[in-house]
Amino acid sequence: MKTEDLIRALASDGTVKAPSPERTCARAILLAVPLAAAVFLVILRPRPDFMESLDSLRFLSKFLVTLTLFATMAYATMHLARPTGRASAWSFVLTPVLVVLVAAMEWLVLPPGTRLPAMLGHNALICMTAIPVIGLLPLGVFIMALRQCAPTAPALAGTIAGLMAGGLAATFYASHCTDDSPLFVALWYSLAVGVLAIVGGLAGRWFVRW
Amino acid sequence: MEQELAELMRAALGGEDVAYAAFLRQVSGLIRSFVRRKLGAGGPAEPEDVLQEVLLALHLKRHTWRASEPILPWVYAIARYKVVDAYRRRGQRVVVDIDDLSDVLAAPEQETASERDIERALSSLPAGQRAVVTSISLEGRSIGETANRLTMKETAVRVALHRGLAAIAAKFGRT
Repeated sequence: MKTEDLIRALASDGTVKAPSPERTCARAILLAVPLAAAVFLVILRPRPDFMESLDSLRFLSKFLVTLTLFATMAYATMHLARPTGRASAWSFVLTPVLVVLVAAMEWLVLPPGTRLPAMLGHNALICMTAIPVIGLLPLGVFIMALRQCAPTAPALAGTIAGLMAGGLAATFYASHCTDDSPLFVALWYSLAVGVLAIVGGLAGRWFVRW
Repeated sequence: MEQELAELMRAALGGEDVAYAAFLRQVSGLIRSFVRRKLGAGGPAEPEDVLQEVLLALHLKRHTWRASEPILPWVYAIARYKVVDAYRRRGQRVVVDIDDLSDVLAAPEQETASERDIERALSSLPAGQRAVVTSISLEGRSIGETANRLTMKETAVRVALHRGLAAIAAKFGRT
């Protein structure tokens, strides 16, 4: 087929228009949040003292970290969804800095003998399981959304989508978990979110190429 | 060039097929010389194949261009992605330098007929889509004429054309 023939066919196909990457990502988020909530409520519940815990700084710090991760990664995903998109460095730096900062404060506040127990906590296994499980469907939604866009670095975009799904899943999980120490969050949440990031990177590599 | 192409694409997104064809023709000239230079002699793929793949990608991903931003960086980002993809499929790595774009000009190079990747992708389409795509591309019929000849509704022809082109893009180079 000559290129001119192809151009004729392309020029005749003028009617179908897909939504902009921002709109596609926004829709994906609107779908992913209730999905994550549903899976969370099937396997876990918010802890019984959820309301009373809201005046605990440690409890709130978990949401500060997870929501920051979700927001910055959503922002980065929307940018990387375009061929010309670049993700700004600060969106990757913000959450790690926050995690380290809050963990360092906790480290200084806690008496020496209690630091390691606080970090290891009681819920490491469930944390490592629940966050990937809650995040898996949202990640699927984000990968489908990326397929409709045009990221020129599919594996990177998939990894970021995995981190975004991790931030969302961790937000729900944090309402259940009774380990509120930032040291616990820094260790186990990071590992659990990292699982989703790896899955996202592979999914990006395999399914997002266009 | 930038201004003109952006104008054409804006008109195209507004539904002007003539402007769109003009855009694609002009862009072909740019991409052809870009792709030839990047692939070089004995490269991983036929330049014309990669050019056609880029055109399909530009078409199917045109909603990822923001009408307020320059169009050439968007065009070259997609072209670069497809060139890198061609090398990747042959198991070679290549780094495409953005600086190389500064001297890209629409060289008056001759178009060559490509009988390879796109023909293979076309032949693997379902019969209905293949008939529609062939009628409009190779045989040069309009949507209306194709609808008449195949006794289909125009909307069905449009849908088959769009799906056929998307399927060709998905299969391109995967075989």
